[in-house]
Amino acid sequence: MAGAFDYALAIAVLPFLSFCLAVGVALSGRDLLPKGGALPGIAATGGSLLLSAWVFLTVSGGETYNETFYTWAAGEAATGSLSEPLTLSFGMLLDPLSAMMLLIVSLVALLVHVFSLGYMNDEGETGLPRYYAGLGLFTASMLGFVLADNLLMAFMFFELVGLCSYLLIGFWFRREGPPSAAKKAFLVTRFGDYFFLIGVVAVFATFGTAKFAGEHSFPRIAEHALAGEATVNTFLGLEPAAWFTVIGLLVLGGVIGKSAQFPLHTWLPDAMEGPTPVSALIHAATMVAAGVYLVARMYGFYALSPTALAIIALVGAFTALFAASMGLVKDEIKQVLAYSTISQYGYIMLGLGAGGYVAGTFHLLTHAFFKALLFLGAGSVIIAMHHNEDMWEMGGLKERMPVTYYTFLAGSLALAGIVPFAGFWSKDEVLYEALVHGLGTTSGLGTALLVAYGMGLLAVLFTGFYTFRMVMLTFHGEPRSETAREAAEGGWNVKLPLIVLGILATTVGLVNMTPVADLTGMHDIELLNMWLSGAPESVSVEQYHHLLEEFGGIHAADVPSYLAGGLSLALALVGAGSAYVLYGGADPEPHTEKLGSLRGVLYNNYYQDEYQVWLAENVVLPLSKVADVFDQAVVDGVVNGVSSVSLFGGSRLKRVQDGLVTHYAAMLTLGLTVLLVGFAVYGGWF
Amino acid sequence: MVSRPELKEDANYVNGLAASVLFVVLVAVFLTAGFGEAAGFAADASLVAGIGYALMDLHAESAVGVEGFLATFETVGFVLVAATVAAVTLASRETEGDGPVTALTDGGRPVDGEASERRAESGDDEEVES
Amino acid sequence: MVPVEYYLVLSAAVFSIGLYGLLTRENALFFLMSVELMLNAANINFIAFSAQWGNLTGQTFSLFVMALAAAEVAVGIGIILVLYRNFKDVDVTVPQEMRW
Repeated sequence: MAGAFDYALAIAVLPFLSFCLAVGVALSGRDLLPKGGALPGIAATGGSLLLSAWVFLTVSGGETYNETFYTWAAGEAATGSLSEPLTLSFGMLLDPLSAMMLLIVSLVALLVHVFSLGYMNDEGETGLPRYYAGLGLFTASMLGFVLADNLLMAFMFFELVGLCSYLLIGFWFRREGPPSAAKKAFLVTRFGDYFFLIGVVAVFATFGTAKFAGEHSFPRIAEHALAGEATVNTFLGLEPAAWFTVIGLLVLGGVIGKSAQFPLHTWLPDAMEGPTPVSALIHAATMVAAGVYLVARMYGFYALSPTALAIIALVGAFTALFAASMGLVKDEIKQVLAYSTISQYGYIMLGLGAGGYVAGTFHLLTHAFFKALLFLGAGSVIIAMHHNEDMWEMGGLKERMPVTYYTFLAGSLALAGIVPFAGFWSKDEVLYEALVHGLGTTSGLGTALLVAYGMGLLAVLFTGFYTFRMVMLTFHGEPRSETAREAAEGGWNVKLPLIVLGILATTVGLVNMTPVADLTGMHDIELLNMWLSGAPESVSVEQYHHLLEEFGGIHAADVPSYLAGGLSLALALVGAGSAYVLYGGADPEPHTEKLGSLRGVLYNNYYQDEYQVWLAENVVLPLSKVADVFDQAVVDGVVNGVSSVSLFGGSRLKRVQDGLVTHYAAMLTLGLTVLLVGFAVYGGWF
Repeated sequence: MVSRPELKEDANYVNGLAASVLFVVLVAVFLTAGFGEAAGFAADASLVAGIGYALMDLHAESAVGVEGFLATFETVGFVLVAATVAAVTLASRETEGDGPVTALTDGGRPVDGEASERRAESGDDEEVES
Repeated sequence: MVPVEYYLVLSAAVFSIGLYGLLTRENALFFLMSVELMLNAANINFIAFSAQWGNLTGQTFSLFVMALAAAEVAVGIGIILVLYRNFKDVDVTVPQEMRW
């Protein structure tokens, strides 16, 4: 009987077909599809969702799938100290992690397609086939990325995802902002992907394979190499452990770019120039998740390197705090959400870096739902406000848009980490992992984790504050503009995704209630933990735990999780409460003015863009100019010189061919004579 | 115009020098080579019969050493026919100037289809002589 | 028996005479004649070496050379006719358009 795994490929192919259909229609130039291509997209993502659910159920039955189905290049002989020749292949890896991610991506994609009916179609946008083609291609490539069983395939889809992001951010290409934002997003993530590419090549050169799971996977080979049971190629004269750290950091470059971590986070706030459903799909729930998903996917490799883990944790925690502080002062609803996205991905990175594989994955899961919800809620508000995003123009939308308000509130509570909403459980598990591993680990990694924990904890306070500032300004108080007074909610296609996501954002955290489990002693309710433990041995939680203890030197201290959870909950409540006090009135004041010069710094994002532009203009540009001069003068000079010599020579030499048959014959004769004389002299005939 | 033979005086003697040089070189090579004694043929062997056998691939019958040349013989026969046809084609006058001759020997003048167009444009009466 | 060198010198002389004609003359018909001379110089070599090695292959081959010479003349005459038709002359130095 054909099982779910036989059809798993269709999960990625279906949205691709929808993309092809939309492109075909767009090229035909006629409006053949009803709703501008939305319906095929909805059908395709719905099909993907059903198949993903089927795969999910199959995987939960304990089955997994890890097969190569196409080898497109195979080496002849093994290189260096490797045992097998290098092969490049396509394959699928279906284990609990990828099955979970498939479900998230296809569900969010489906809801975003439905929401787009309200956000794009009902608003009378043009170019809809292009829009839905982009969404379809994006969904297909993201699902392909999740399915990938090796790093190279993952890299290809990673790039495709980046391309779709570019296309969709720049959807309104006639305006001034979107094309520039699209270019920025593309270039900044490309900068990170450059390191990723080198990392992929390094993985191949080192291990001869880039498979994620199985006995011949690169994390496994790396583990054996560190244990002295296998040999690998290393470069730059480094020991295997140090070289693995280098590889891990190279791949991390792509992760930092894609998941918008400091210092490559600057593209994400600008990416909000795209349509809001796109922001929900790409810049909150899925594409940005690709980076951290990659870390989780090859966690067996990162677990071997304490240095890489410490860097991941520190980058994540710093990003969480840094982005949250910028979110405090923003005036536009999507900007606040953008910075909260960066901040939340920082938490996921922190969780993974702190050795909390389950915690990081858990936060990835909950964040995907509540951030998609928040963005779609913001989209609903933006529809009602006729595309005015300034929160100071809003206010009092609570009565006028009840469905949006309550779902948005659920998402905000989840984001702020208030019990019992999703974000509370996952974020506190992340912080808890950082704390216990920080306390339990004696080396420098422990200190780094404690520092990271501190930053993460402070960010909780900020998160609570900016989240409720946003809620208060948008929905509470009195309407501050004419449009806000006349705001009305959208149709079913706006409300339905909000309600679905609202329920999920409220409840999805219940799948892994670690503090409750600790309090009651019922560890059966840590469903996600058990779920991820069902993976094949090479990618299972136990394996990672073992690697972390043996190679990472990470040990857990005994701290009750409800204490840590209570602390961060208290901080979140303080943040939310102060936001309520400051902005809760009928007509709140813009308190940010009181921050003085600090406000300017925060408002301008710590001048991140400015220093990056400065780097580009004052360092890279002069270097490029020098290179250009070298290119023009030396390289081109040599090339042009060679060509002009041959041109000149040719123009002279062509006169030999004058069209007179007699001259040709004479030349033949002379040539023969010369040849004969030459042979005679060298051959010693005379 | 028929006239009595006379020495051509405007001939290109400089080119002719090349032929002379080649002759000298060839003779020098031949005379220094040294070929040894000629083997020759047996006095009673029929050379003509041997050639006949060779042309029919019956060279085993031949009294003198030779190889079979039937395939070559047939090929040369074909080439001769082809050459005859080619000669006739080249030599026959084309009535409308559309034949292969104008195409083969454009002589720097417009070829075929282009030719009629160009003539029509320029109003040039000069026809390609063919 | 006549040594093969004598034949070779004879053939070299015939060949060079043909070549000389080719290089100095401008009349296409002279060209054809010169080429015949050169072909026959080759024939002399064939026959000389046939006797030298006591093998009939060279003689057989010279027959083929003659046949091909006939074919060459047939085509050559055709070309000269066309040449004359296009240029009102059989001077080979006149058609020189097919150069650079």
